[in-house]
Amino acid sequence: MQLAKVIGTVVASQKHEALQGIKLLIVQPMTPDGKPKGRAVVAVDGTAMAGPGETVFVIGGREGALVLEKWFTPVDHGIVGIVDDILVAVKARKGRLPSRR
Amino acid sequence: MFLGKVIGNIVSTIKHKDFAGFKLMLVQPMQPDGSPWQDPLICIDIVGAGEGETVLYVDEGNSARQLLNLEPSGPVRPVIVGIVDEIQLSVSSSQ
Repeated sequence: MQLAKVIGTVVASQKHEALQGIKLLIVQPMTPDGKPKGRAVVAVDGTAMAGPGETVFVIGGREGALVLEKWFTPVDHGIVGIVDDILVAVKARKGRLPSRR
Repeated sequence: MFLGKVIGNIVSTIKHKDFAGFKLMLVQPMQPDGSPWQDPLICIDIVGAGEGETVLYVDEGNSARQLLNLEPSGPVRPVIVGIVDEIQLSVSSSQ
């Protein structure tokens, strides 16, 4: 799962029947400090409450479709939660081996 | 399974119903020598890992669903399954 920002919506009238009535959002994957990373993708909304401007977390691959009630659906990214807060306590730098405890 | 370092956590109120009650940690994947590998990801934590700890996580849907009792349709994949005490490297992976 990765962090992403909802940057828009997609409207498609002609689509696979399994996608009827499903909200499609454009999400831009981002790093924990808020910088965009990689290309934007279209995701379905498993929270039913995500909207443009919100920070969310997204699951990709087969699990993307599982956010939906009817999960036998051609979907590869799904929004699973809306982020309230990101608490980064440890800097992701080159670390050392874990110390013996 | 992969090695990673817990670098933070995520607070989320509105989330998919299958995520209720689970802790979400931000994990930086790492090489056995401790150097970061690719980008941080969000993992569900079932072992009580804390920030700064080296952990073992799975990134596979069926394993995750079995671990969290979310079969057959939980939208989960990365799950922290262990806290690493020690890594012994005999041979460098870069050779």
